[in-house]
Amino acid sequence: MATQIRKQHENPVLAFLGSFGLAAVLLILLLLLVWLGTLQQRYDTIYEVQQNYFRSFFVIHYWDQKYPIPLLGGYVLLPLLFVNLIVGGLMRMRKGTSTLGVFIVHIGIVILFAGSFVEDMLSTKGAMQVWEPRPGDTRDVADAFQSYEEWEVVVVRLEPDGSATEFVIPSGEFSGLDEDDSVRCHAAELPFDVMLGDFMENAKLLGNPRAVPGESPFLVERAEPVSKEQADAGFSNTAALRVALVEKVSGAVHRGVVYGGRSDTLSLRIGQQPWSVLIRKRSWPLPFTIRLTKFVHEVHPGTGMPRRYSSYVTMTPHEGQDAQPRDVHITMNEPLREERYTLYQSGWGPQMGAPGRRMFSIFAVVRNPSDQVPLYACVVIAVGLLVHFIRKLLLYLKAESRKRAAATVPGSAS
Amino acid sequence: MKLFDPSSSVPARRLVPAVVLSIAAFLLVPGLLDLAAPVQAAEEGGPSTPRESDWSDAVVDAWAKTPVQQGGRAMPLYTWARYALLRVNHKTSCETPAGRRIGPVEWMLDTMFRPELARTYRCFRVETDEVLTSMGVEIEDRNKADRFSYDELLSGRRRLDRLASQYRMKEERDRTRVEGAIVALDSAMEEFEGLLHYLDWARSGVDVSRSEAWVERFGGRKSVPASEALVPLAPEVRLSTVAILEASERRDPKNPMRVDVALHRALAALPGLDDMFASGRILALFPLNRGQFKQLKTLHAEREALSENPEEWLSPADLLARVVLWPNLDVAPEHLEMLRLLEQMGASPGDATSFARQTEAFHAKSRELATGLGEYDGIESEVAYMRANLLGWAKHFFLLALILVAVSWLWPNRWLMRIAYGLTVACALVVAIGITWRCILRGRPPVTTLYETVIFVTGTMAVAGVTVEAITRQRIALALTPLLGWVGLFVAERYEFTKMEDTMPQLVAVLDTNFWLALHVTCIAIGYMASLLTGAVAHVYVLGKVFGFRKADSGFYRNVARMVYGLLGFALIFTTVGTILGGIWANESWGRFWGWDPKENGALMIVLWSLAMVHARLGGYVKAFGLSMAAIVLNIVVAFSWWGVNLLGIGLHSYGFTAGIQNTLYVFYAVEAGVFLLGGGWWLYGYLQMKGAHAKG
Repeated sequence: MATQIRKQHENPVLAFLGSFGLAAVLLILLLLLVWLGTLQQRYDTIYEVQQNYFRSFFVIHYWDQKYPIPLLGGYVLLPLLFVNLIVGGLMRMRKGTSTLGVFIVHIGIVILFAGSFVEDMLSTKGAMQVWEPRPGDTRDVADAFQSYEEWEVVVVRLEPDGSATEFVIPSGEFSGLDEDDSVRCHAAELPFDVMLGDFMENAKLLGNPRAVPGESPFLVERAEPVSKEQADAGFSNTAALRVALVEKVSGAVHRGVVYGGRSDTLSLRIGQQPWSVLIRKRSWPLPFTIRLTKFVHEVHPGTGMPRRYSSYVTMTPHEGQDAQPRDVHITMNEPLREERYTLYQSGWGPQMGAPGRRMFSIFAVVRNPSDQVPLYACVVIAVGLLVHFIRKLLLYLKAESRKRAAATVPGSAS
Repeated sequence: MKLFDPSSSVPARRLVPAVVLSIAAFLLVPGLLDLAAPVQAAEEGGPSTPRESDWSDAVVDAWAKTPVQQGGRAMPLYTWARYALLRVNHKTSCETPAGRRIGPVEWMLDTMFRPELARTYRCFRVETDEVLTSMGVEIEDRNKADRFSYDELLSGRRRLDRLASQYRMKEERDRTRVEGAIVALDSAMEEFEGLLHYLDWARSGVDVSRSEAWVERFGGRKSVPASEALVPLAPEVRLSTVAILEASERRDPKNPMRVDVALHRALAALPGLDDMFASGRILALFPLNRGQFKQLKTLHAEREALSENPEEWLSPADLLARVVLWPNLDVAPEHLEMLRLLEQMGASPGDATSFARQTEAFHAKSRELATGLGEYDGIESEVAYMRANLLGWAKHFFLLALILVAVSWLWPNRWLMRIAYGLTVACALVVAIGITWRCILRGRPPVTTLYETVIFVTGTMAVAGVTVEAITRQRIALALTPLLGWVGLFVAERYEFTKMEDTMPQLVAVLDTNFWLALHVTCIAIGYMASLLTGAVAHVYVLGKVFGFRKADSGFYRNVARMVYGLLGFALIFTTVGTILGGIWANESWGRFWGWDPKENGALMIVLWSLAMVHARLGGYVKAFGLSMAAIVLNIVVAFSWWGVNLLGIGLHSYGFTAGIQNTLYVFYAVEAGVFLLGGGWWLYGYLQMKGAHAKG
């Protein structure tokens, strides 16, 4: 048979990579990974599970927290499946009217994969918090958003006019530093080098009762990362680092600590110039400013069940022809899309407190170049599946009616 | 092995329909009796006696259609009473001591207006007598699980309350069965008491005898109807409330007393009003009038009306608090009128003529107010929907169709088959009508809650089943459809009776989008349905092979295998597209396409398993039998995705933990695993035999 002859001449590696068997095995392994990763969410936060199961090469799942089951992680299974899809589902597949639908489906899945890959590599996700307006408080305005997980160290130079210049050290420089490690960061504009060491994913801030003048009045102590229960209860990790500033001219060393969310743990003057160093969640600027006018949190009457969260905001683009302020209403399922950024209503607060109190609103901010790709992929896949299914159904119906016709014509059965 | 003896196939052929028939008869007869019973009861009712529940049809009807605000929506009292009775009695009717069966509205009216009577109804279902032992109640000659009256349980009430509050601290999944039953009984008694004492104030009137000035003001009367006393006394109550609050603040500035506590203390001087505030709470029967609504809306927008949600309807207690604490808000004359009517009905429920008149007036007023707010629209239709019980009827007729199919296996008859098919089509239509009716009532696409997934899956399964039968004419789908239809509606009913909650609840903010609900949820539900149908047909293949059914008829098995494969393809379209649509929706509302949330993962698992099945089949790794075995596993995957992940209690979709469901789910897993093992064993046996034969040969 022709197909057999072709198979004999084929590269066995390609044949294996594109085989149905590999597809079935990979799909089952992926199913296993997804299933156990889902069960594991009883014990770990969703972020931990994502990192350990789906963004890893290998993972050992403990069934019922006891019995080890080794699993291939998402970073192994998904690329293999992608290769299998390309080789088996596009390259090696017989092309013809009978496989047209399936071919389209495979293209759709490739698009989906590609979109997810682009999202994984190039998207930026974070959140911003804005308060309702109150005179003398600028927290009703924001033009940047913060990462959920990633930290950055910032050296701040306070200028005479009251403004501040920031020098940022990204997390890649320090997130792997142990107690004994340190890294020295240089910048031409700074009169000192910044030495960072002992990164703590979660830490406690303590006062230093024995601090002498000129020494930092704070201590930090390493703490366990928050557990799933704590995370569910709204707690999160607060990172800390030990910092030493080494003056370039004199060699004098200023030691201290930085602690997430605090800007006052390491402030000093060098010469006449005030400086401070802090650690905060990584921040990205937006090309527009958001001002919250009002946040409305409605519940269904007589219940505590949320009916609608809505933020009324004014959005002002920083530049461009239409740099006019615009009133926008952001609510669940109705995000604001502006200049490749999308703002979603994601949270609010304070949760407790009397009605009528000043509220804040939290927006999830996403910049994802492949935002709409899943939609296109979905359409392609749906079309492919329909083409294939309808073709099969029609063939079946035709065969059935032929069979019936044959059965009813006398003599034809013999 | 006897099981695989070729001769056993003949008796098995006879046996299967016979077993199905007897099981079906066992299930159907009580069901039909159930349906017929209310009619019977009504006929037996006869002349009324004062010691008996005897509300006229008109009264029951008017109360059934009276709107009440519950769970954030206006619902007919019929619906409220139905679920309240269900929570107490675990069924939707109740028996009086005289043996008469009454419906939910009659039960509610008795409890509200004739508490002394309702206290004697054995309407508390207690799951195990260990609950009574824990309460310290001894009642002889009862079953382990039985029904008791309020009066019978009363002596253990305090102990029950103490135990229940202790067990409520535990997570639901950590409670033992008895602990769960104690909490359930306590909640049921609390709810019953809320209704029992709802109108105490109406029966007692307001005792104004503490102050001579008051007595003088009301023309020398010492007891005054609340509707008459409320407005004139409000300023004084307000003053003393303010005084109590100020005194408390002086005493302990850091922990000021709550306003409602202060009001309650201030009312101590006015027995009657005191009752109204303490126990007139369970039903929010007073819709606002439009003027009040506008006024409150404005105040709310300005955030002055601190604790008032402008859309909230009022119970008598709320009304009292409103009149006392919000002097600048108008008292609606309609509300005082409704209060007066309740009072009159509460004071003399025995006078049938005037009670009927007052009921009618009360209903008319509440309808007028609710219509003004635009919230009466679906009320009467909802009562009609509830009373029509379409899904209940469809369930019984699915069973009847199944019986006809089974009979036709014993005595082959073309007409029997046709009637069974016609009946199944009719049932599918009735379920479709029921689902459409619900959609109209709610103004929503068909699936928004777990309960609705069940009826939708059943309805679409029935439609798919009759379609498949029309296409294939194999009589396989003809037998499966009524069976699955019956199972589906049975599960829906059990689910409703286990949750004992309104099945048309309001939706949380994230679900409030008809577009995505219609697109993603419907698609996924059809995917569940088609996957389960695939699995169901696969059972025919596997069990048929194992038990040697139509052993020689290879054409039969070829057709079944084709159906499995075809349905799998159909399922794959909907599960795949539905799952991706879910991601697209998540991207629209949260800005992420995939978050590894358990429900998302569950849907993905169905897709992955189906895809693995298709690829394994195409690669020739499995054939018809293997594919059918895999389709049985698909059932388990669907069950995990549909119900199992909700029970994990994690993630964004964990909206449905209930202990009873967990057990049912485990039974389902076990049964499916059993079928799989049976099939596997059979295959292995055949394989070994074949090997043995080869070796011999």
